Amino acid sequence: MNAQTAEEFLMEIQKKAERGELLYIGKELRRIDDLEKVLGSPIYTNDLIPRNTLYARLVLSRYPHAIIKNISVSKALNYPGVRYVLTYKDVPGLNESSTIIPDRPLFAFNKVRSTGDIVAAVIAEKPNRAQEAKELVEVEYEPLKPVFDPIEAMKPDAPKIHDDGNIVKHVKVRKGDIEKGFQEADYIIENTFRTQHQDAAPMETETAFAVPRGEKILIIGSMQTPHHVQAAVAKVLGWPIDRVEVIQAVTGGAFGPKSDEPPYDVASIAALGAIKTGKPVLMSMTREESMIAHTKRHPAIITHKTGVKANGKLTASKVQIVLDGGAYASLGVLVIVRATFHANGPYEIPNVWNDGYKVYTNNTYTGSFRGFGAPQAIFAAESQMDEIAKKLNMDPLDLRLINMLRPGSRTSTGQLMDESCGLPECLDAVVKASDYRKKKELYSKQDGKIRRGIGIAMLHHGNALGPEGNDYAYVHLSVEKNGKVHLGTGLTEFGTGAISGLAQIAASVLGVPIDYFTIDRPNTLIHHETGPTVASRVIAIGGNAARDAALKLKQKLLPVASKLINCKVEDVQIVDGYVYCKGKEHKTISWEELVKEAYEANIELNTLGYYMAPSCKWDEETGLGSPYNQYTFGAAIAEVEVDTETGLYKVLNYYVAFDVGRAINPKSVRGQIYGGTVQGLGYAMMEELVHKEGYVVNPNLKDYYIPTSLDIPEQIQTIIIEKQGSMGPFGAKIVAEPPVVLPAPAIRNAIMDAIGKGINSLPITSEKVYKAIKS
Amino acid sequence: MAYEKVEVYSPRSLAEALEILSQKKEQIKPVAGGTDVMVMLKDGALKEKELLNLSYIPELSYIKEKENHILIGATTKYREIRRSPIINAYAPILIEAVRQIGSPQIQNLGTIGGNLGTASPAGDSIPPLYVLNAKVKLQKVGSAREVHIDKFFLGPRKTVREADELITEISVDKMEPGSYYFFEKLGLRSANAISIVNAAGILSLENKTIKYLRLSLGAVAPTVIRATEAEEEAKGKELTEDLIERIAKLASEATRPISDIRGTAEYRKKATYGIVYEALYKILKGYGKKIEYGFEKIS
Ligand SMILES: Cc1cc2nc3c(=O)[nH]c(=O)nc-3n(C[C@H](O)[C@H](O)[C@H](O)COP(=O)(O)OP(=O)(O)OC[C@H]3O[C@@H](n4cnc5c(N)ncnc54)[C@H](O)[C@@H]3O)c2cc1C
Repeated sequence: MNAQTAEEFLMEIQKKAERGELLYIGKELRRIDDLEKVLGSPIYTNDLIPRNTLYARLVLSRYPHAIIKNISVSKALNYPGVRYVLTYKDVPGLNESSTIIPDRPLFAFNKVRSTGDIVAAVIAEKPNRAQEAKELVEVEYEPLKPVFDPIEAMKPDAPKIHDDGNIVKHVKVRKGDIEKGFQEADYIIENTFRTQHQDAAPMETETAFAVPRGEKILIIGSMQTPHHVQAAVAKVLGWPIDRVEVIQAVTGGAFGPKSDEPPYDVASIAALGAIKTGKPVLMSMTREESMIAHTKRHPAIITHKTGVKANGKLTASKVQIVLDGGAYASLGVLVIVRATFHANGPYEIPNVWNDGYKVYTNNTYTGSFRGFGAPQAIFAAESQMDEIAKKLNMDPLDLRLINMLRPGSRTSTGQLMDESCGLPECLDAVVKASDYRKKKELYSKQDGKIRRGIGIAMLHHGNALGPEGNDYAYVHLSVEKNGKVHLGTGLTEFGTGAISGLAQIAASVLGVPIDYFTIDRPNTLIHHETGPTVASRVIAIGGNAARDAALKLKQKLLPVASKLINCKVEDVQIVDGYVYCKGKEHKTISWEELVKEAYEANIELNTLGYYMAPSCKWDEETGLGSPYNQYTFGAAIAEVEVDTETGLYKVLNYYVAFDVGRAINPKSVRGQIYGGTVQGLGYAMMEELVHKEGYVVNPNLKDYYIPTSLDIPEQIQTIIIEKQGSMGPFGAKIVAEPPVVLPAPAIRNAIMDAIGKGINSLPITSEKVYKAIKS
Repeated sequence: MAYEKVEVYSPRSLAEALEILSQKKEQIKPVAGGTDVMVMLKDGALKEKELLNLSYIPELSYIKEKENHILIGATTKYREIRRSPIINAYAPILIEAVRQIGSPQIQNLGTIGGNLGTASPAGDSIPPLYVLNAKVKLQKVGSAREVHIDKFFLGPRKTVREADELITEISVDKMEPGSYYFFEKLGLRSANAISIVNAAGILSLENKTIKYLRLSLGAVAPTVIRATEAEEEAKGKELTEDLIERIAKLASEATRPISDIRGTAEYRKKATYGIVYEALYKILKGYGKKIEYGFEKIS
């Protein structure tokens, strides 16, 4: 024990014990799964497949809207190397691949509604054979009149994409008396904002590998929610779900589409192909297939009408959000709920009238994507705030200080903010870090061709599912005889580090270092159905289940320890892998000894932790109530430099603060903030999956631009605020999604500060900036 | 059709390569770094079924001085150009452009001959070659010819190269000591971006009077162009803000851009004004880059 004496060592343990169960909370521990990733080990689905695997490629629709008159696969079937061509005729169960509303067939059969619709899949011995034979699948179409503009699509005489009208979902918020609110206002400000299709562009595309196993099928793939994939495949096969085993492989990025319907498609196609051919089948979308056929972020058209008094107090806010849903409902019917509930921004406004619509069009479909409706809603709301400030000739910071949510305020749905509302602290932190007031003053005096500007954006973000579903989770812990702890759950890791966070929570409760933990691969055969891995909810919801499982385990172990070291149960301490009796530190045994003793006493070290969030109550008609149990808050300030002769601009600095309740692992929290910021920066500055008459023009990473390291500001300063929430473990709130939301409005407002004009559509290209300057 | 099988020939000498080419002509596609050809292959845009791999021909990769010229072998990679003491000393404008091509990965593979072969109006090494009076050497079995850069391109993706010819060398003039230079590029992101507009210029000043301005513009016409009217306007005049405005205006008027997914024609025209204006304005205000033989640092 090196230079440390036994006594010093025990002192150290004692000190740690005094910090109780918070042992590893707030510690920047390494992720459990990081090493193999940074070493480039062959861990992803595509790395794992055996030699005799067959490959599938998708035949996508040639038209955005058309009747299918006939499909002939015989030519493709005869192509060398082709083993099978799947169409709707091959679906033994339900030809359906949808999450909430059953509106999307796995294989198009009577008509196609977008160019992302899957008409057939070719299964061949080599990917290139499948790719080549694709073109030999003959589909006869009779084109129908399409509609691409969601506003057009809402009109009663618009072409119908499904049997009913094109409005899939209408969400309302009605608070106070909106007309009275406008009457009380000194000014009324109206603006329209537009956002674009954004692609999630995960490094790994949608991928599934299926192996036929007698009357069962095994699926290994890249996804967020294996249990949902299991149910979807069982439905397509017409099998009971227990004949479908789904294992989530190491997943190379997800960002939302992998919680939506695309993983159902690849898994069902791989499974059908495997059953038809009797061989393992890999269905791994090419980048082009993925960018056309998977869900994207909804484009939005958002109109704001705001009433404000001359002193800056907001009196009324009326917002309409129209989301271009593309051809199918997907999880988008929930995206519009979040968008509508957050549409007015993080402000206290007495009179609110929001209408949110998710609308069918013949564009490719849109759905779940990091932020889930908040990026569009907050871009509009925060841009509107700066337009209001301009009208009042007021500093946008002051306008925010007057109206922002603080403890005691009520949100647009009337929800009371308690002490955990850390928005004022977040705003204060970024204002100080950026030296906002001084820079604002300085930049107002510029006159050259190169101008700088500074802009603010902030948000509140309802935590976890709220109105999006039952918020529960299971986490399973079991201890091997050698002391190793297995953590298993149907919640998944796809790059966030959240599952390591669960281990960190369990380790803290148990008093065992995280090195003892291994995380089992999520497997539907082994793990409980545990809800989706979405809404940033792993730590907030799953963390409670992990804590529960660890507490249950500890309850089993403490009596064993008590006997072993002859100590009262309530005095037994487990700290950093050592067990001792409070006040009698010399009687120490190791975790391994304790576990061994438990095994000998025939005590089963196997627990299932469970957590279900309190149900959220709100009124369907008015939206009023408390749709979320707790909120995350955030504020950001961007500084830009604009070249007024070309419109080219750079983001020089970005300061961002998030109230995350409690940072279980601050390094992971920062990682999420950095990553979200960069993805949000792409959304703000360059990303746009362009649709032209229903066709995706740039379905590849050479024409669809995402930020490179050179596009990232010199400085992204992150500040963590901790105002503990009521729901998450140790007060933790969610963090993974909100960072993606703030760059667009902050950058937009900074550019407005620099050039005096606001740009109300994303992405903000240099061309748009130039046009604004010269207009 | 994508993924079609292609056959690759990898000759070890220029003579051997020219021989293969003389037989196969348009049936074979030369490939140097492959940073354009491989993308075509993957997109299914390659009509040839055979590739002539030029990367094992050492005699095609070099940078040499010859009196007032620099000779650059066609398969010289961007990385080598960036590191070349000769180019740094005598044609640093090329470094300015090459630095902004793609990313380090692309610069490690991409070649200057490939940029000419692709003949994109947005190719970033091309505007500097215009202002450096480059000559492109084309060789076939038994003969060679030299074509001035402004005669080399016929349109987007079209050049005077015959199917049995290879680009073997590019020769450029050394820049005059004391002259100013710039390469400006406007893209939708800071790396790995195709230019919406680019511009290269060399400005020679005597006291405050302009001896000559050479100005070329990319991505704003079917080929890279020289802004000759702007150059004329500059000649013999004193560099002032007024003159810069006139030059930038003439440059903008010289363009014949198209609209595409990256930007509209109108914006390209206007942005040309902007980047030319600013490049010259920087020189006027003393922030311009100037060539001093022997003192240029290796970037
Ligand atoms: C991610 C990415 C980023 C890029 N960014 C840029 C950029 O910023 N700016 C830019 O200008 N370009 C860019 N490019 C395009 C490309 O890198 C350049 O055009 C490069 O110079 C091509 O060189 P290469 O050696 O790779 O050409 P190859 O792909 O090998 O060949 C290109 C063409 O030239 C022909 N060719 C090559 N050598 C010869 C020869 N000796 N004789 C006759 N014909 C020949 C080939 O037949 C082919 O038609 C980018 C490409 C990628 C993939």
